Amino acid sequence: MEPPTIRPRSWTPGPRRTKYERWVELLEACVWQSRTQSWLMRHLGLKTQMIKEDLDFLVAAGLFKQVDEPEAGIYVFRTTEKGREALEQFYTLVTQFFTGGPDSTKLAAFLVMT
Amino acid sequence: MRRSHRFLMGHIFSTVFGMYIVMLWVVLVIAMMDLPLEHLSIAFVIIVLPILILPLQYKSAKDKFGALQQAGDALNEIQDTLDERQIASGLTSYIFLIFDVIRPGDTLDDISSKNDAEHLRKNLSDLTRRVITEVIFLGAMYTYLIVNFLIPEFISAIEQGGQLLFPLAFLCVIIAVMVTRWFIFFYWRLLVGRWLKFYQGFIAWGEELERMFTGAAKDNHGRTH
Repeated sequence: MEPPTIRPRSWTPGPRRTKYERWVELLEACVWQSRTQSWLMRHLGLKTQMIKEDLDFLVAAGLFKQVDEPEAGIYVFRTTEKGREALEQFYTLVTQFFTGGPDSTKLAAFLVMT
Repeated sequence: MRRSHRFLMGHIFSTVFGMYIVMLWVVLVIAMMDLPLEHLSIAFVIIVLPILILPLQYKSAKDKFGALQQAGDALNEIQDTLDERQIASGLTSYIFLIFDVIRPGDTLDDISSKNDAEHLRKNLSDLTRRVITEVIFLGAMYTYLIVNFLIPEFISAIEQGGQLLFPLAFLCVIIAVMVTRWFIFFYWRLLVGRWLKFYQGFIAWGEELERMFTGAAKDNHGRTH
């Protein structure tokens, strides 16, 4: 499996993300190293309520695990093996998209049809 | 990746061409009303109209250009990391940036993915319908313009030994602008369709994940979200 992607510096998170997009970002952010909840909120641009809901689901589903609590109130998370598998399926989808056939023939067909 | 960047370029050109469309409509109306297309009126259409339209298009153009700029920076960073580690860092963020661009602008945070895909498909169909209507209307206008304005102008110019260059160049510019606009639109639409297909695949992935693990979540915590 490929190592995780990192949000580019210039990237501003869109305000209209679906929960699935947030799940991918969370799984990806914690796949190689553990992250605190506040790190995730800051880097993924998520609101408190939203990240709590997402983390609750991911932890309950076994895709995420809470590794330890270095200080009281500091929560640290990491992607589990099951989470990695889910992420792998997403990467397969991405690979299929970017290695798809050339557009030129489809464009020609499309223009002829229209 | 280049394909997705061309998609974003098409997204921006749609705004730029909006300005040309208004200019062409004014020129066509002037010609159809049989008003003399003198240098002053042409200068008005070419110089003053874009200035008048600019404030109306500023926000949309700025947003679209911002998306392209971000995508460009993201691609550069992805390229840099590929050089160093052969890892496509930032690809997921880049994909979600494109999702942001193709999604209709009136949806709120934490949207329903399924409805969003349907909404996007509907928006795309509406836009295509509008462009096809534009093609038909402008086709009718051109026919009227050519038959009632340009052909008599040509005949009169030939009879009086006048210059044919100006009306001919004028017609060529209009046709070139329109054909380019339609080509870019249809190419952009093709790429949006491709992204939409990918987006639906992504939603199916999310739904499958949710379906598979909601039961597990219930077992573990006795509650779902």
